[in-house]
Amino acid sequence: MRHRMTAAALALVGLLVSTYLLLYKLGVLGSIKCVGSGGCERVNLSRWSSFLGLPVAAYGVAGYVALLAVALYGLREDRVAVPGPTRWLAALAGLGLLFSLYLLALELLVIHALCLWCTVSGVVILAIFVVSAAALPAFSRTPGR
Amino acid sequence: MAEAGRSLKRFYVVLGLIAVAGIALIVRAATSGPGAALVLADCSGPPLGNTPARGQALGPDSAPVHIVEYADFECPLCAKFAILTMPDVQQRLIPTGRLHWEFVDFPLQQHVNSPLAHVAAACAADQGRFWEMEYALYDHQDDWFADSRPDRKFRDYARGIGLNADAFQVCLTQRRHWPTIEANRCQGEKAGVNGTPTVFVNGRPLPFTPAFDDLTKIVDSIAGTAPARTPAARR
Repeated sequence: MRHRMTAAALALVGLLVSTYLLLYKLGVLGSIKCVGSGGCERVNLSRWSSFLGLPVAAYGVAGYVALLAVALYGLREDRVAVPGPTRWLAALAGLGLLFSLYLLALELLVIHALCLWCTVSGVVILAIFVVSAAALPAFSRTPGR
Repeated sequence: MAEAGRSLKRFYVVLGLIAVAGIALIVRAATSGPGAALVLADCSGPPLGNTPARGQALGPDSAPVHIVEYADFECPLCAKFAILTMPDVQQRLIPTGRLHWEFVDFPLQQHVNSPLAHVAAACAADQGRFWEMEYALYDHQDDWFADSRPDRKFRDYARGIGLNADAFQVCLTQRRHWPTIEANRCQGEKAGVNGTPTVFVNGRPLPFTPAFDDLTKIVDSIAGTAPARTPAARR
């Protein structure tokens, strides 16, 4: 149960970070707090900040909402001992991690700027993946669906 | 089991606190100012870096009449001039080739949103739409001069005149042309400008804000006699 609590808390942090980035991208926020000289602006306003016509941050918001929902669902009394939600957490976080690595590669190799908040999101998704994947073996040792 | 229930309750409280704190921070960021404030430098001190003054020009450099306008985007008289006189200047005097017009930034200390408006106009100039943005800023002056988030309005104007909104936002957020605007203002101070709009005709200040008819008379009177001037002799 503890790993799902951790995943839910991390997903909430990731959701807040993605929402912040999305609001900046949409122009609701006039500026973005960042470290360094404008890396966050350069990354979030570059042409790479949209994917298939949608802001990249919107995918982050959707992904973290899904992770949060799965983690909270997995905390229901009748689901706690079932491995399904943890498998879903690991799978979704794995996908998110691949996407984050793709974005990090773009930042380093194409845009030549690092965005602090995107890095925070990457660390969060990595942590959710590690926490969920590490919990999976425990389910295989106990009966459950 | 009861222990698990208590632990879950504590967890939901912590989750709620994280959510409330995060939302509060985002709301605060959304309602705070448009970013780093722009403070006007003291022009009487040493030169401000190496950025040269550079206005926005219309008409050929070789024109016999050179008019330099020092203006502030928050100044009501400048707005009146831009809306009532400049369209005629652009449509009827500039095409004759007899007039070179230069707009030079002169944001005034007391006008809080003016510096960012000048940056917005300079950012529009990056995309070749300075005059369209100049008109939009003056035309909507009442909408943004007291706004706590004028940058949002400026982005709307940028979209309205067909600018690439993302490129405009990067430029505005980074206050990209502020050093040039400062250099322009200091050039004005050195030339004796102490109010806006101030208009110089071939280097001489006009003691009044000209109407279109005045400008026509000025151009007619000079263009018939003066030879084309070189850029170096303008001021």
